[in-house]
Amino acid sequence: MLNISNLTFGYKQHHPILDSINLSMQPGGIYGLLGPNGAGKSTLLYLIAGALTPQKGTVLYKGNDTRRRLPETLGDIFLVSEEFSLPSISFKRYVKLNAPLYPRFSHETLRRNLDLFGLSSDLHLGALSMGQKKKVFMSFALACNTSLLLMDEPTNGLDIPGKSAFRRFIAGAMTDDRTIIISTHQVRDIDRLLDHILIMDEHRIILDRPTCGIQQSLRFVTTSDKTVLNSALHSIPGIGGASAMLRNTDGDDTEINLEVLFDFAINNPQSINGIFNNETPA
Amino acid sequence: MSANNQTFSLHRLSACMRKEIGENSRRYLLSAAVTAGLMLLVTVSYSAMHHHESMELYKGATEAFSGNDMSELKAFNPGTQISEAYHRYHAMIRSWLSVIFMFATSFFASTAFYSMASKEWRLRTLTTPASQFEKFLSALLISVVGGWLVCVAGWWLAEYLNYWLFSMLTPYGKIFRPDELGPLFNGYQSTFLSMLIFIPLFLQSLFFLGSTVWPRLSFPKTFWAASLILVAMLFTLKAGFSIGFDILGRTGIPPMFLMDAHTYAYLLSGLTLMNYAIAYARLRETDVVRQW
Repeated sequence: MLNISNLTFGYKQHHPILDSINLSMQPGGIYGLLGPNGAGKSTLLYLIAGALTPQKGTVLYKGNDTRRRLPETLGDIFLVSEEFSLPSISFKRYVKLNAPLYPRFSHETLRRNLDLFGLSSDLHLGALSMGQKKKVFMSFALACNTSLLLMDEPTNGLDIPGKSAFRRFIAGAMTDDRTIIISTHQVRDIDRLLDHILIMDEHRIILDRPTCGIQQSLRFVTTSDKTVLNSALHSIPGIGGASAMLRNTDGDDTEINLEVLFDFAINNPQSINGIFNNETPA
Repeated sequence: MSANNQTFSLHRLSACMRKEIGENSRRYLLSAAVTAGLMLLVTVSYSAMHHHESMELYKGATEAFSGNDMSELKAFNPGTQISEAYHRYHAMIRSWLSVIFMFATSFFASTAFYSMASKEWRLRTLTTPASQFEKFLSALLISVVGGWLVCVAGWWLAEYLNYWLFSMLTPYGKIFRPDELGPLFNGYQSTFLSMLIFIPLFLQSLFFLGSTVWPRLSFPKTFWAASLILVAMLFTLKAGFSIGFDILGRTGIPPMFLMDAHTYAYLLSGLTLMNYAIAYARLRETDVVRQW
């Protein structure tokens, strides 16, 4: 569905933000794109949406180069960027003006999404807070029923009930033919939603694994037991004990602790993939 | 053209235009109101300043008829019999209106890519599901064709409101309706009409192109850039022809001052098309983050 090959991009000629990225994504999954600030997550989403021109390589979506910005492609991809603007008009008018551009737009889905966030459709976009605008925009984005939904830091600006609603919102949106890519550095907001984890650092993808594959190879526990901690691949100290990442030797699946995995990946970019092949990290 | 056509679909074009106008209706209405208001201000204030004079002229024109006979007055054909002075009065108003027309149509064209003025807006525009050609055509139809329509409507409104206002004030009960005055500029029709059409068209294309370079504050920036280029070109041509004058003993006048209306029309049409072609190429190359 989405094939990224040899993608290189930099805002200046010899300073790449992304260097020879290769990725392939299939329909029916939620991809978590994680990385520290400045890793190039937003840039990668812009490139996927066709809003930037690669210096090298291509982004093919259903066989079409997204940079060509064909209406067919743009009508099947929706980007909810971290910074966005909405016109100062009523929401109903906004929907009336924008929905005709998305062939699979569903008013029923829009109503359901707004309900989930506790919003009505009688809103004026100019009178909303940033968090409310985000909820409204995400509700509209999902109602467009595009096969690819790109979300850049979607939980920024959301209150606690909003984040909880967001998780239900995403879980309810998944279908077999839809792919959602969520870029964030707030890993706790989305940890249980993901089907696939991508971790970016230093201009490239350092981890590209399905969550089930990670769970098969790794086990995550919170413990104070020093014996366990000594055998851990990585651990982060906490108040109720340390969060640790161990090899999964007994075959039991545990929930992925994204913070520990992310911290390990960022600190061991060369050896992160090796641990899935039973190699000993350096 | 079906929606499956990836270059042009009437459905997408009209949706694009509705979106642009609907989301920015206040800005467009304000610009149209300011344009019509300026035109009205010029016609009414000029008429007010010259009201007494124009009434005297009208009186002079109508007293040429025997005893103010109403039937003769009704048969009076202002297009052919109106006095030269009275005609000059209207020509002055129309010259001022022409200047506003040129500025206003250029201003409308300079807002063509205002939707690209910030990163967030640019992203919204670039990811709107329409082809580059449809986005270009939508901007062209709204800001260039729409600009003309607004300015023509403003002109018409200004002349008729002026007529209506001063026909109420005149003791003679009649001043000439704008459509009774015949062509816009009697005597110089081909030259003036050609200039009135082709110069604004060229200026519009220039400001349209300018809005792809400077989406924000496009009008003043394009105005100054174009003025500098024009002055530089004139000096270069003048210098070149002064040298030519010394060598060849000719006039030393740049050829643009010696061209006839048709040559101007061809030249300006070519430059206009070139500006639109460059604007389209720039739109195709535009990214969400400006790198130029």
